Amino acid sequence: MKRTMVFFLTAIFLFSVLSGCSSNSQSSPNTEQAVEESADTADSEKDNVVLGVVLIDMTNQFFVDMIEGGDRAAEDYGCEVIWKSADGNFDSQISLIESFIEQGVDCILVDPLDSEGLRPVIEKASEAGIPTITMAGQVDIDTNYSTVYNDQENTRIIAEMTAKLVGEEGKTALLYGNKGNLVSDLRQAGYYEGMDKYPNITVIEQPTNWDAPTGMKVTQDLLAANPDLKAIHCVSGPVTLAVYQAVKTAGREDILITSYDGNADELAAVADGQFYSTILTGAKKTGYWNVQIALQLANGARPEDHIFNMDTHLVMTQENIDGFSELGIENTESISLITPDEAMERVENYQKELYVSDLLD
Amino acid sequence: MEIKGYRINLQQSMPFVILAVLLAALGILDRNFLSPQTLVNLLQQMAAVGVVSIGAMLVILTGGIDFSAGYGLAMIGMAAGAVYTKSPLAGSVPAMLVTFLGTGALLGLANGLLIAKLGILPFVATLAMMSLTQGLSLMIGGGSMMLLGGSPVLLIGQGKLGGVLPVSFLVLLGVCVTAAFLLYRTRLGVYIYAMGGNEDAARYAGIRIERYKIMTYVAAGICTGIASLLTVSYIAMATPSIYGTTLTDAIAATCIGGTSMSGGHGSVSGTFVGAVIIVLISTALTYLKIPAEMQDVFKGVVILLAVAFDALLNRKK
Repeated sequence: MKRTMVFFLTAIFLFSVLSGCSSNSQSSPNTEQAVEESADTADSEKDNVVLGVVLIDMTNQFFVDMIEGGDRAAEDYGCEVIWKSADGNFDSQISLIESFIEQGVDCILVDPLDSEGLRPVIEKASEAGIPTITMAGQVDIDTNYSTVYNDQENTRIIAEMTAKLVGEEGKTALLYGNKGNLVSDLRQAGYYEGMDKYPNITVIEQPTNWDAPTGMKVTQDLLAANPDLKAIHCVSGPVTLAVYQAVKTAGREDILITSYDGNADELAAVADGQFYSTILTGAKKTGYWNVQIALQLANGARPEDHIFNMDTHLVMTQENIDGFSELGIENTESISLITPDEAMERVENYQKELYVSDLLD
Repeated sequence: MEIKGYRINLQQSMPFVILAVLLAALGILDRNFLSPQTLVNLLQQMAAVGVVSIGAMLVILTGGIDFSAGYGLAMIGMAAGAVYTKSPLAGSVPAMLVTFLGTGALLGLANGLLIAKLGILPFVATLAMMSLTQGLSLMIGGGSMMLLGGSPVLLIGQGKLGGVLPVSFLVLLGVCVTAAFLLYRTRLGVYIYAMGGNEDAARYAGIRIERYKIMTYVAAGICTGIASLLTVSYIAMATPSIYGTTLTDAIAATCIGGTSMSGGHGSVSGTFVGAVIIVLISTALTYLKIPAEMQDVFKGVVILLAVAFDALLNRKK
């Protein structure tokens, strides 16, 4: 028995050594646990604001970056943020919110899998006097606010741009996340809204489940089944990087690839010409921005307008930007065009852009 | 004896029948389907799932199960990615390969010790390890994806011998041959079947069950490590989200391949064919433009067919 324990402890030790390479352990479940415990016992010292966030999952790069940005804001303003993952499960979104209510946090943020379905539990939070933020989704309750960016309109413009670039005819593919996911649904709706104006374009759609290997497999299959495919739009940046691997190994680099999210590796791919464009939402910025708004709500602010809109940018090389207006797409005033270099700067400087020293005064 | 042999033959031929029917149907529905390119893609895409299936089959043969293979895949990939991009050994392919196999073996060892030495049910022990590996995969490197563009290691996941035969498929074949050798030519193999058939009888026969059980889980862990290598080098990045549906696909492949879920019966060739079928189903739906939601329904039906056939045969006996 003793020997077993030694073995097992050694194994655990080795695992933790391996994870010692970690440069940023803020998203670690252990830290989460610790924060949670301290929040439980911190009822007496009420001056410390505690925010609870329910994410869809923590394995996607977008959420990893978002946590980093949010924690940065927490540091800047001196509050605590508890990050929880619903592992893609709607039921656990509800139960995580319920436990935040019981814990008595000061504001709850949720990235909803289905916003209408969250209505009862958000009402419960409202009754308990806790303001809530539904990210990307809207629930019409007085203490609930929405933080959104223009996913549908952005994707509509990407679709139209794609259509124009491929000569308004032929096959294009849309790789979405999964049905029933609000963000995925909005981006999908935007793509069809744009493509519906071009009757000679056929759209083929496939889900990727936000998962890179699935994205790569699906792309390989699409290319084999549709040798005449002209363009691919993928709604999730990390997956688009895998899509490019499939396109490259198939020797089909003539295919126009567009992406969404704007993480650093994607911006490099745009600069290299591997992707035609991506959208910079800025995951770190999203995290910082949401925590900042949540803090103001936690502090008692109740703004009139219940929807907060974060600005996004369409990232392309200078050459592509120059040609954009000649494409003749309608209603593009809302979109801001920037180069990968400018985007990179924004990615780095989100804190400078957003930080307000007297936010809570 | 004769009757038993007959039964096993029928059971073992089932996956081949399903595969033949599937291929014929697909060939008729879409003539482009049976093209060389489809075949090459299929061989490449089934490699990782195939390797995990072989590992799953080994533990299922002993009457166990390994739920840690899915998130284990992600954790091992993140560990190897961190070694390759962020550690003092950055850029070393051998160090990366050792991390893949070593971390896999360690994971298997942990499973084996929990199950054999502490007597925890495989279901419970590997479920706990699943959660543990999920957490670790997010901790390593802060959960950030690590790109491997331009690394020689990509040759394993993306390379093709003579521009045709995927290297990853050769790795799968190597794993299959090794597993077949272990199962059919070594004492470990005999004991794996014996444990799954009747563990108490095996114990009374004087087999040191604990030791062989641990070895089996280590072998499965190494399979998870190899599959992680294949996946990471296929998509050219390490990210915590690579678990996908690998675990359920692998268990389904084992099931379709004729391995008895209570242990004792099953073969490498059946599992291999099971993996072909599982990958073929999702490929087929892309070709036939069937909505993605149908894919899961279709998978479920095929699994049920395979298992129902197995159950029917057992009832007759």
